[in-house]
Amino acid sequence: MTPVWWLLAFIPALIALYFLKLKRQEVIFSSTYLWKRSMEDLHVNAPFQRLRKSILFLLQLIALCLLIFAVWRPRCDQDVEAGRNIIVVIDQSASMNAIEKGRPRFEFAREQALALVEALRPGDRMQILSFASKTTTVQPLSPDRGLLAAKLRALEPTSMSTDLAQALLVANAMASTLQAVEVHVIGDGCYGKIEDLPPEVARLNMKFVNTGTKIPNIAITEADVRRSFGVEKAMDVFALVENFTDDDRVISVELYRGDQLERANELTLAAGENQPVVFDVSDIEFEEGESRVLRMQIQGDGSFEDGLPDDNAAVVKIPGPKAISILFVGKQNVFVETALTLVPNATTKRMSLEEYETFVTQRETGLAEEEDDVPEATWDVVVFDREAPTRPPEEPSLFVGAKPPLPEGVPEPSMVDRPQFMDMDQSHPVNRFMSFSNINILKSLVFPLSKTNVALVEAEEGAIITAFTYREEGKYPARAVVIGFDVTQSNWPINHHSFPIFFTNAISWLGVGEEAGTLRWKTGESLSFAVDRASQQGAPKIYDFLVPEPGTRPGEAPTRRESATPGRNGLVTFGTARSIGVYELHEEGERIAEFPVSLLSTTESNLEPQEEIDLGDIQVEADTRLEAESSDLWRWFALGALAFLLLEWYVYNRRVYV
Amino acid sequence: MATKVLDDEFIARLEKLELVSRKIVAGTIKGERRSKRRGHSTDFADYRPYVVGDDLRHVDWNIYGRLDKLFLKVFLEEEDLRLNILVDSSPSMHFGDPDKFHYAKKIATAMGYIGLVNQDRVQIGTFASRLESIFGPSRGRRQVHQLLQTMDNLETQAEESTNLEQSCRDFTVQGSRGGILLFITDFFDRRGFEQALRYLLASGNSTEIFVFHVLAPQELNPELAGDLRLVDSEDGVTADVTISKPLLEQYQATLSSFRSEIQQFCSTRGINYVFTSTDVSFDQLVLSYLRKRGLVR
Repeated sequence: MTPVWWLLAFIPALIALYFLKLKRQEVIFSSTYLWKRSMEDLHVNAPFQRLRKSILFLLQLIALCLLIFAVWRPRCDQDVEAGRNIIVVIDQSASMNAIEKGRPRFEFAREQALALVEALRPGDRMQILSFASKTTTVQPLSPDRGLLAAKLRALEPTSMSTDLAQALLVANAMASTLQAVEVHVIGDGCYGKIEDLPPEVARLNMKFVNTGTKIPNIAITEADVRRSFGVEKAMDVFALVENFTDDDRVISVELYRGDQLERANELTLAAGENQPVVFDVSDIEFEEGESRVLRMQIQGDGSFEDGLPDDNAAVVKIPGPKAISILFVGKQNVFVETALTLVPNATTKRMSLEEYETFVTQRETGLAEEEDDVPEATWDVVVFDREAPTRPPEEPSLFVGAKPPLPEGVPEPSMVDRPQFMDMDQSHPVNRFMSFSNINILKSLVFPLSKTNVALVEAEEGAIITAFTYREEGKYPARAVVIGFDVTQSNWPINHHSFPIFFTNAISWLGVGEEAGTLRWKTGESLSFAVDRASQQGAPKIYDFLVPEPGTRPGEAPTRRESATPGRNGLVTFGTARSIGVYELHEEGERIAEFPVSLLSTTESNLEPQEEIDLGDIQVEADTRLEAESSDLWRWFALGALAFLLLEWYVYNRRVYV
Repeated sequence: MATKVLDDEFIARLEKLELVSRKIVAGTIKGERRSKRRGHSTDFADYRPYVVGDDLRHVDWNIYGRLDKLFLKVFLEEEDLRLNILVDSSPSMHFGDPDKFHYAKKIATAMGYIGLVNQDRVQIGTFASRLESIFGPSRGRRQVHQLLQTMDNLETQAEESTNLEQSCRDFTVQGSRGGILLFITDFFDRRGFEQALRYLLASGNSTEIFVFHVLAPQELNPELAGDLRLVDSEDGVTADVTISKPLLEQYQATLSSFRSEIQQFCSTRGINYVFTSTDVSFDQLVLSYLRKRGLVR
């Protein structure tokens, strides 16, 4: 029995009180003759006279009832019809960890969502989607309020960045099969401008509930490790620090190896500005088996409370001295060979195409005839310069100015004179630190785009640098990067610093596996590691990912263990890094790889919520809070009760002819 | 201590007034009023044929000379005027501000005074459940002092409820016929007023009846609010009322119909109905209102 039911007991109490209390005041009047006559006439004429007689009592009763209703907190869900399908899209991104009024923003969002659940009527159904960099269906359409509330209560914010567009696409896909759909986006509005959404998304019956207020924050929004090619072993750790407060701030950025402070830099950041911090880490020596992760940490001056702890630290990995063996196939090419010598920890061997073909044939024959006699020589990457083998290579390969044997699905390239650089895929590891402007090419193979090849560098007609994967039956897939033109017939090697960088990137990517060239990860990305091919013979091994729990302090070791087996592509993959920290990959109890994961997102670190969602064509304005929509009526009942009490007082004290 | 009903100044103004009866009144002793009876005053009234036994001194011989028939000159007989005043002294009259009974006493005293001064025979009675004579019959200025004293000391009769019918019956039975009858009351009697007034009418055609209906402003516009138990000042009958606008409106309607019932009853039977509220200034009532109504001149 809720306390409200107890309040109902006041009604009979009031009635009893009324009759006890109603000791009418006696007044001597000259004669009651006329009064009696009047009342008789009135009774005849007015059926409600009895009510009028007890007008004060009635007013008190109404006031009490209204008060009870007010305590009951009735709600009125305006302009809402039963049988709705409500899709709640709740923001789970890192900015929802921001502390507001002592609680994470996400708690407010959850409360709004729970309010929506409470406002569900018979016939209504609700679906809950949570989104950060990925969108997850938390609960499919269900009318069960208890279940929905339980699912919402179990939700926690992640440390991932935001991709509202994907969430809206998912919501739109759901909505397209339903009637009477309402989409409620509940979040802090830190989404930026969302473009390229199909027009039907804009037509969704969408409401945006903004749960955030502006909170000061200073964040590391970018971090990386750079190798200086000019100086051997020179290595810089770089961070971009941004001030999202309204005042100038003096902060220090500290660099830690484990718990040991290695470097510190003090910065003065103007309001709203960012500054890079660079630490030279060339002289930091790592011991065998030691973690190669360095952590940068912001220390504030104590003048403000930082809104989001997640972005105050960033972790990067210093590349290890793992040797890469490269086979250069082709005639002498001073540019390419010089670039290959600059690849860190790489050793290069040259071979002519004939020699290579012979070697491959021998290897295959040997395998066919005698299983144990596997040719010893394997290379991490094979570079084909202006010549290509007839059959797809088994190793990852880089083709320079040569047409490779095309796997199925990759369209036939065409030769184009003087192709003009158009675009490049900045997100691809091969293109890290790359710039391709002012490069003139005499002629190049141009690959039309398809589902099986990605364009790394594009000209008007198609990709001049592309990447694809050879997938041969019974063999590990082998990646290939194709430079469509002869570099000697371009000005790229001569006066462009991006030439050696590209080769370093490409060899690293091809030779070490997916993301191998990556020295830091962002939350929301998947982590994968190419395990040693030779060790994959026989039964598949089981690897363990050690995953930091949400809320793990920067620098703390990961604790949660998740097992994984290598896929057909030879990669051990961890789905999505949801928390910040260092993820570790273990093989038989020994750490074989580290994945430093940081937030590194300007959008998330800027904790100033937007008043609207900008969908390009339309803007969805923020509702103040859900209360406005699913309005609480208790105030009106309380006001009504007060009004009736005042009226009762007035009637009692004045000559009021009601 | 009883308050003075009339002050001296007002009494002085009353000196100039006299009571008027539109009916020719029949007195018992010769007075200053025209009598119905033909008599021996100097005022010629009429002729009538001579019948045997008439006083030959009244024969108009000039007529006899001209017409050769005997006619008698008939002269008006002047008689005194009977003034009966009945004042309701029931507890219900002791109500209002100004008090109804005090107001009634003022009317009775003023009229009685005018009557005494003008040699009329004045009798005053009060009634609640029964009629009780408190003054007279008396005439002459010498009785003024007693009148004033009596009226000053007059109080309402506590614990006696109004019985208009019985009181009027008492009056009629007393046989006080003719003259002027002032009946001053608030008419608050649950048995009704009709029978009472019929008894008054039974006192004879020669009686000119003036009914004074006196109510207090508090009865005309009750200043009440809230949940009340109204207690009747006479019989203690209670009425539980919650004062509301409809009830007050209904009260007004009932009061108005009550008045018009009385008025209609009176006018169809030749009774003069005078309604007054106690907040109407007494000077105004007597000196102007009653003059207009022809009771005094």
